[in-house]
Amino acid sequence: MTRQQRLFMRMAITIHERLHSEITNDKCFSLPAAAWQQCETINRKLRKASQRGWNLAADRLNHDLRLAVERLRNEVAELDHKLRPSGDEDRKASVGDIFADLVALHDEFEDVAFHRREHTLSVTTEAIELDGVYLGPFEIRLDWTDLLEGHPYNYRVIAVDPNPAAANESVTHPHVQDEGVCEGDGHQSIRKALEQGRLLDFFMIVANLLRTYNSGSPFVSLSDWHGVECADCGSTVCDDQRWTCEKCETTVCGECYYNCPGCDGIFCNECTTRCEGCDENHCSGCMKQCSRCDAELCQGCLDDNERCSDCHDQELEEETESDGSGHRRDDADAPIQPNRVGQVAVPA
Amino acid sequence: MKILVINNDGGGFADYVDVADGTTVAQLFERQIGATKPSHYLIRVNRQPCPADQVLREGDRISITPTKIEGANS
Repeated sequence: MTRQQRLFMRMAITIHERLHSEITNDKCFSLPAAAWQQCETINRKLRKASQRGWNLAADRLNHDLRLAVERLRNEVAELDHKLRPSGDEDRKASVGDIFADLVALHDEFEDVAFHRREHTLSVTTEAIELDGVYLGPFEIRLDWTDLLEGHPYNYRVIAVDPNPAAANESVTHPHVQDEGVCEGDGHQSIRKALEQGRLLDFFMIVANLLRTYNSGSPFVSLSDWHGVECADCGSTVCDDQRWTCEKCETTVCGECYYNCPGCDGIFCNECTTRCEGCDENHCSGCMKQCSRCDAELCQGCLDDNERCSDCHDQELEEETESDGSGHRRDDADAPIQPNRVGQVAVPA
Repeated sequence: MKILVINNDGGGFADYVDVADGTTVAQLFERQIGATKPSHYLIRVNRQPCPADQVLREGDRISITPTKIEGANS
């Protein structure tokens, strides 16, 4: 046995001891109620969106429902597996299995490191590039002291040559934030691999997850990786300084967004109109045309008859002129003070 | 004969299954996964890459791992 093989054997024995000390006799099973509830909620929203003709929202909800059903399916499959009579103990890795996994890891990955004192085993992937965005190599570091603990406590994904998203430095991969992976479709298989001590499978699944981009649910999408451009001024916008226009859904920066005084909504320059009365930008829903001159004004700048102030004044003037006495018709019946020397009739 | 099949697609289950003598890797893949393309999976026999026509033997350990696994921001 070579020196490296002896080292692998010692590691295998240590990990095996840990793995088999964690056997539980828990026979209580939880049903996938939360996953089912999530499906119901999304389905309800989807029905509502479809009925109201909100096609974009319906498309998004349809995608969300598909993911929720996938999650439900995985949880049902896991429950079914747990309920089968054969014991899990049969499938827990033996010392030989773990040893073979450690040897095979060197064939699958460029760099494998074991730190006995820190209780960690790690592999490093090749440099990963997704949709033309360089993300660099990732170290997948497993803490094998508690293999049953589950994500995110017993393994981390560390960017070796980080190229984080411009909008969020803690996101080093579309599915990695703060060194934690959002496992998505890989969740059940990662958990199973760890529970059974299948180290090679665990690292292969996580590595393949890092090599895959799910555009439907990233922390930061690859199209926005180098920052989102403000649709109005073209500057790069960070996550905490970005605003989305409620009408056209483009991104605008804090300098360029408009807060409609009528409805309090957020809009870009393109989707607002300046009110000729108060000189403030309003969304199209809060703008109206003067019933007389067709000038565009906000609701607050129109009178009860939806006339602008100019038309309002002009109409009053016209009414006054049409009244032969020179008095406004509205005031015709108003009581006047008696005529005296040096006095004229003045409406009350 | 009995072999260990580890399906890392979905649930990630490991099961001992009975297969007929002379069963190849490709035949087992079709039985376990179905009509999906084998190129979408990393298939290992006893932790080593293998040709599709490799004949399985008693006690073999076959793992099937999808090359594309979608993470999700849950």
